[in-house]
Amino acid sequence: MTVTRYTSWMGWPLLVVICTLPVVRWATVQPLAQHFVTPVVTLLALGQVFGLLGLNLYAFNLLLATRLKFFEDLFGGLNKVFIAHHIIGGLALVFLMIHPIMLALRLVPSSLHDAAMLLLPTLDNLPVAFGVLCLWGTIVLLWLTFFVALPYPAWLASHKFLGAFFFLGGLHVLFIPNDLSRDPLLKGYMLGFVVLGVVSYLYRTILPTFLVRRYNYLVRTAVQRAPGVITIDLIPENQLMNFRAGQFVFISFKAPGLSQEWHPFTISSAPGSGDFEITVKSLGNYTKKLVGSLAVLNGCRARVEGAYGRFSYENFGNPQQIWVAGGIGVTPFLSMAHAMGAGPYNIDLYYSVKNESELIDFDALLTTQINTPDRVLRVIPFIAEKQGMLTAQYIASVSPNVADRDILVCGPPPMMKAMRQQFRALGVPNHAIHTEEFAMS
Amino acid sequence: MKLKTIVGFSLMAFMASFSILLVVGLVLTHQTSSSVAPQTVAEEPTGGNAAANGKTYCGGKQPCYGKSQVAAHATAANCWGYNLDWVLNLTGYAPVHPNGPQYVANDLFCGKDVHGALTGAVAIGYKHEHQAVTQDNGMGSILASYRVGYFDPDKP
Repeated sequence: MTVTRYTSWMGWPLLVVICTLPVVRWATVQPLAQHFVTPVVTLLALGQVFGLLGLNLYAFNLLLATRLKFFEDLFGGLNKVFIAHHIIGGLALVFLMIHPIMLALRLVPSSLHDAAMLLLPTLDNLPVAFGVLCLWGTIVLLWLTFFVALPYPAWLASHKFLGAFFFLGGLHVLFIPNDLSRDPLLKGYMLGFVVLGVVSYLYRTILPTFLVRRYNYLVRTAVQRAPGVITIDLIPENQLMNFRAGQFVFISFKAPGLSQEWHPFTISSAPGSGDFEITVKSLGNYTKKLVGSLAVLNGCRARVEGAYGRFSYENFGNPQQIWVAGGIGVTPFLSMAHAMGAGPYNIDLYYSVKNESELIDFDALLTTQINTPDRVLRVIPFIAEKQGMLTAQYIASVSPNVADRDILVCGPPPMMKAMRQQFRALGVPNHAIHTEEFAMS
Repeated sequence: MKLKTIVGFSLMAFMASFSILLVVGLVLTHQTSSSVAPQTVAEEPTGGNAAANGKTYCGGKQPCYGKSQVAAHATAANCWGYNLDWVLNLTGYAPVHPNGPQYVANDLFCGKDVHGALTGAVAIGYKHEHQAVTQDNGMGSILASYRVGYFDPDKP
């Protein structure tokens, strides 16, 4: 399990290698100097390089969207994969926009008309038209992603078309006459990534019902835990899904009056008993509806996909840890506290809430405390209405040797950001601070 | 800098470049050829005559060249070629050739027929496709401003 520690930094370097290889090959297909003999040829060269980079990033992003566990290992958890997906998507768009602008500019000295037409799809040049359509489709969908706050289901529906536009980009690569068609190795490499991207798209978006492994569960109980907070207990209908403490799952509930969208939920119970629990707070549109459906949830069917995530005390080699939970962000820590394995752990869990009524499952949590000479798990509640804001300085004043510990934080994003800054100021290295940015919806 | 800022800036730059190219390119379409400086070519004072030996070549269009006259321009610095009925100054065209000058003013084309290369029918080491208007000497041919005369295969 600690293997994560050694591979979780490898995702980005791997991406750099994947993007660099075709550029190196491109630069050796003909003498490099020939690519820069005149301004026109230089523009062509830049256009080609940005095209190669953009398409590689695009393909890699579709691979990341598969949610395969391999990528979780490379990036350190699915939430980190999704963050990478977001950044890579933005970069791919930027590179893909530079690509045709450079190619159009190089036509300006010879024909302004040709330069303008290069950015419009025309029937007399299909390979270019495929590329143009791919670009415009991608521009519109990523504009929606970055700059329009669509409701989640509408955004998700729009985002699914990106794979189709990527396919058009693949046709562009396959048929365009240029350096690619002159060099089988380069063409093979790029087409290989096109195929990987298209297969990923089929797997995750077109045929997930058949290809993505999902489990059938039943809601055994659904009970209210605190105002606006419910706990749902799910039991397998047939096959059991394995998980580790701190992981999360995607669930689609089949309850009357509730849409069957997939949403991520952190598992709040310990592994090993067959069933699992999620604890949900009404925060967004969907979770409000889910919490409101409490009365009809009992006995409902649910499809479950997972488990995902690498946010677990077991994954970080250091047994000296501080856990910081903000409100509903306590869920992974509930699971971990109840699952504490053997080992010389020394852990302080700070559980910050607005007031006592927000504490979830607190009595049960207190029973998980350990205090022996070689093992410690302390639960320290922090009531914001009485004590103010929870700060790293406060934690350092209560827990010894903060700078030598790994810090795990799960809570509202502003809190996680503030905690990271404050702990870094106290001398905790950045790589020892672990946050769970994703499973909060 | 935040990713959103970078993407937003790039989107605006792209849309601005696109709009400028579209407006300028499509509005000025018919002026394209005049936007390129006319090629200064040392014409052969007598070689370009459409009439010779009592016959009329190139449908009477001037200047008119035959195979041997084009073949006299066979060096990179003085490179002519012909495409259908046009004689082209390839030395002038080479610097703006979209895929690089090295593919234009060379032994394959200087003094020779370039039509097969333009259509992709003749293998020249890589697949090469020009637009139909360029292949057929139509309106909007990228080669129009490099035409130095007309070609007639029958002219001696």
